[in-house]
Amino acid sequence: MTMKKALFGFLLIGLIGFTACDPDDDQPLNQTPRLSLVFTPYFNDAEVQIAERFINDDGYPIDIHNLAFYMSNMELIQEDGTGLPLSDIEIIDLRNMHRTVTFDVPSGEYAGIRFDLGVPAELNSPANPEFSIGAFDADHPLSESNGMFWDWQGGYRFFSIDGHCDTIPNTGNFLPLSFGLHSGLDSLYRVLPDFDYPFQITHSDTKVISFGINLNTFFRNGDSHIDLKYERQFHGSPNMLDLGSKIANNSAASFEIRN
Amino acid sequence: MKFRSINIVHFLWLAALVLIFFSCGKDDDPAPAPPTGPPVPVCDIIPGSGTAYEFPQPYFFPKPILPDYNPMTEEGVALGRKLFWDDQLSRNNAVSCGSCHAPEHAFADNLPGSVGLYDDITPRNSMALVNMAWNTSFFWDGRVTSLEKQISIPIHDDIEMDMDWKTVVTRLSADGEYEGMFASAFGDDCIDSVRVSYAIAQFIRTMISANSRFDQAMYWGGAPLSPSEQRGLELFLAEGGDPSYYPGGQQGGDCFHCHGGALVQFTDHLFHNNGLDTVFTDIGREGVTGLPYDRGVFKTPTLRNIALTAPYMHDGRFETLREVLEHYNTGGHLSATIDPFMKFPIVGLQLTEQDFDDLEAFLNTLTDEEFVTNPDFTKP
Repeated sequence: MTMKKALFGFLLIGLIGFTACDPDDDQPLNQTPRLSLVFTPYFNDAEVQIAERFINDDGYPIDIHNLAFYMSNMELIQEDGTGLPLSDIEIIDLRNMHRTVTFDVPSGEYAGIRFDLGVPAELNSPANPEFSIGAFDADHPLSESNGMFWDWQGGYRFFSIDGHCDTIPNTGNFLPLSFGLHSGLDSLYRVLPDFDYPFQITHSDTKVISFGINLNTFFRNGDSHIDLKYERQFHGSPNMLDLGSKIANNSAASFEIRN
Repeated sequence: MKFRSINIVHFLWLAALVLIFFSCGKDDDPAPAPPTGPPVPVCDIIPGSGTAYEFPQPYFFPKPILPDYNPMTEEGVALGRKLFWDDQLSRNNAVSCGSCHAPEHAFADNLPGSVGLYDDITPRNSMALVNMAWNTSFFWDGRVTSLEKQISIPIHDDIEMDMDWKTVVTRLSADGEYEGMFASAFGDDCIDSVRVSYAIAQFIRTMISANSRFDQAMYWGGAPLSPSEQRGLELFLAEGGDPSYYPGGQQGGDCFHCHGGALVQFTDHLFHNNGLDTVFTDIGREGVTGLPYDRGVFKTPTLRNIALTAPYMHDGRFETLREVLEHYNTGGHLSATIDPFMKFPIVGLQLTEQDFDDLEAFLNTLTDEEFVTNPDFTKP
């Protein structure tokens, strides 16, 4: 046996040894491009964690206990402006660690993404006499088990933010007041402007788009100001629709791409 | 040099062979300890065994969670029922699942903590087994997400049943009644932990409560609620707080936030700190998630049959429904994790005695006598 042949044999066996027993051999490669949308709340450009205390623009100590919302009619915007449907309805629930939605998408170049905020009237119970909560499996975004359905109160909550605050300075350890701002009537459904964000996604890619929920904007969107000293609760009451509209408008304005 | 070359070649061949031999190990875990007795059997899944169980879905309920991997059969349900009530599942043959989940208490018990096989007391209150086919998480802290996984936890718990699967299988295999039941349910008489868990899960899924007085009035065209019960429902669905100082307040009970939903299961299936404590002796869901904001947070229980499941809360601290209502009326204790739905921890809800009476009257309409007396659920 010559030295060259011996070395060749060694390399061949070594190659077999390194490759034949890979535990992932049975798993097919992911051939389908994927798109993940990740949602994170921000205040003053800093990421806000659930239960983390910060001072809002009105000077109130505040924390976010829960932030959940529905997105509907989700589409990728193709280069010619037409939409490529992604999903009819999705839910994000930050407290319960559900902050990402992921889709299989075709390879290609896209101009951006669009979605609406809320549950469309045809899927929301008040406008749909055929509506049945029994239509949805437990893992469906519209399942009752997501805790976002209030049958007698206009159907689903569209955008739901709860937390604690203190609008009267105190020296206690805990924030003594709570707020619960929930948009959720058909009239508070909002079509968001397109998010222009050109990107390319190719074979076997996973493209991640990070969305911020700007809490500065949520509490003060131009003249639309939610002052927690006076406005801490909206759960669909028809005689408080001014506040409901502010919640719907400000929440719709608070979404931004942060890639 | 020739001599040296041959040595190198031999060394490389040997190294390559050794590399192949050892590189194919399954993983780096240490070798398992040698078995000390016969192994616990692992039974085959035999599709199509048994007679398909026709699930009696109430028309106004959401879709149940009926996993494809555990299709319900008449035989599986019957087996699960027998296992549910079998004391052999506890180490000293003292308790069964049914010991802490009795029909007259809506398949809970009437103690703050349950009495286990050695007369020790569990740290948490027994949860009612009501409409479990619609549950997405189990236990007060939601530590498991399927009934099948839930079954083994009380069986293994030192206080509850202190049992191991090997002994369970040995006992059931020696019990002549089970051989044919497992064969009928699963296609052969093999017994293992999976089949035991699956059968009990099937039985528990049959325990459906959908015929309370409230259901009859709301969904079945029965007699309407009494004026007091109806007012109780309205208070249940109304926001708390005096509107003169709290915008949006309706002087209600604020119950619906966590117990409303579609007015079907009377739980939001979520987890809350409802203001029981400022300092926590039981960290609740934090023990599962590791998240500090889940400290003192517990699952929202269903209110169906709530009048039968006293005492109340995860530790059974309240003996009566009136005590529960009084707790909520005080507004609860402030803490870092108290739920924002507890909106009045300082001033309380300020409900009246009449409000209490009406709310209690409504809660009593959620009792389903047909459910708790159903002979299909009793010890066979």
